[in-house]
Amino acid sequence: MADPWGRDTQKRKCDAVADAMNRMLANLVIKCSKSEGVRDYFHVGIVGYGGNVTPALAGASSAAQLVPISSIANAPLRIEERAQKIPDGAGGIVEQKVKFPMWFEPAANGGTPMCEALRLARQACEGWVSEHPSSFPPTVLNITDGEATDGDPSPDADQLRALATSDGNALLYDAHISSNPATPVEYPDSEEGLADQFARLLFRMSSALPAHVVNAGRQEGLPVSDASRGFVFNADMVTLIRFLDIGTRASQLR
Amino acid sequence: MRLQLEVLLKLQKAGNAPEDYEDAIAWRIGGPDLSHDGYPLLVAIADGATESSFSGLWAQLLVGEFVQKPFTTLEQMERSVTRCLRLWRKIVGKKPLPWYAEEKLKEGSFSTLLGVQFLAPNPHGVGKWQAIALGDSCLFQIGSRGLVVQFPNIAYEDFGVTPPLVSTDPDYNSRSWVKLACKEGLWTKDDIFLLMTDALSQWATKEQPDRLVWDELLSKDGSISLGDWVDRQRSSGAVRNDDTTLAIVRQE
Repeated sequence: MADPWGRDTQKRKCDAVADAMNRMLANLVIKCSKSEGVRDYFHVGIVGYGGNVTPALAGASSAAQLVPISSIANAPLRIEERAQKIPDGAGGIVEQKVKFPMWFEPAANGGTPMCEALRLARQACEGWVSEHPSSFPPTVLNITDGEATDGDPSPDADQLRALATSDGNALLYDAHISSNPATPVEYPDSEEGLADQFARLLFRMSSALPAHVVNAGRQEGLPVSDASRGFVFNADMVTLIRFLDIGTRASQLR
Repeated sequence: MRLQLEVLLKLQKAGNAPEDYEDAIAWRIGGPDLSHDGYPLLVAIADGATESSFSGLWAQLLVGEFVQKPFTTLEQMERSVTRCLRLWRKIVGKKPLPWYAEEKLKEGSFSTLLGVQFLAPNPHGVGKWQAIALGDSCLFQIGSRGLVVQFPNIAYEDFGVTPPLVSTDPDYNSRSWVKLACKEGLWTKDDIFLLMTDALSQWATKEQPDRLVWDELLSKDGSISLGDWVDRQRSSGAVRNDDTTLAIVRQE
């Protein structure tokens, strides 16, 4: 975790993981934000796995607890201001200040008990599925910087993906934050060309992207095919947050 | 004879509170060139995008502007949107916002818009209508033999969650104006016009070849309210769970 990240060697892998988690949560909160506050379109639970498997959200009583997104929105540890580059609408790029809330601090703890973390995620989802049998199925985003240190995670991933509501099976998406400086990969449709054995394992564990996500991705210029999996290597999955469907949204016209 | 408008339904998405409804509708009789009693009849509906903040407000401003200063061309509409934008900025800039609302506001507000003008009939009883639309809120003209016009003419499978939208971001609009649609037609005393936001429009588009669909909508016998009927259609998956608006224009 304290190793440098392959895509930016000035950054530790644990920094990249914390950034990915914080950015993911911020995007989810902003997605649900309305003029009157945050609507609880989603329930969220976060399992941290370093030395131990623990609840990662301040205030969550157990790692398996799901909380409404509004309670996350209002409880970041702190809010930083960061510079973000955005298109200026005239073919150029401008820098804009954005609020960057932090729920997680980087932590290099050693150990990657992924099997246990996936089991815990399944427990949380099982309860939710029985309470919401007609809802869109749970989506689990697994962000990891290394290989599982507690066995082969494939069977636990299989069991997680086997959970279902009437709207389909639970979705498991994986992001591999690696020291390997290989080119970032987003939503590949085959394991050929992936950097290492572990990236290939995560690819096989990942759900195929649902048709509506593939369609939305195509419309917005993402390199996706019907066989794409929810797997990224040294990249983030914020685009997948955008495609969670809560109603009419503006397409990214460019 | 005179056309009149009746708002049949303003229903929020199932699971939401009534105040979460973000469609909008406005109408007015008379315009700058008022020349005939009861005409023009101006009607506009809009569907504020769920994923943007203050979109209900934006939708209201757009429909209000249309019925006050109706437009039929892109140039006129651009001027109207600019007026709405000034008002929108004034209203949303009034209070301090939490971090997420501030970030969301930077993305802007978005809405569809459909505006229709019904002009006075000539001595033969034939009148003209003019419509302008961006997005998937639709006008259906039904004659005695069924559907005459659907505008915009969107196929069932082309309704989605990313329709063209009018934004508070002028850059965004400059890219979406190419999707602006205008149409005009004629109406006579037997015609009925339905204005519907996307969920009902999509449903009607699928059923459209069969005249029964219109009978089903228009000849409610009172045994079930239209709201309950939509709820049933939502439950069966026939109508998408979305804010739903239905207005009808027909002879008194």
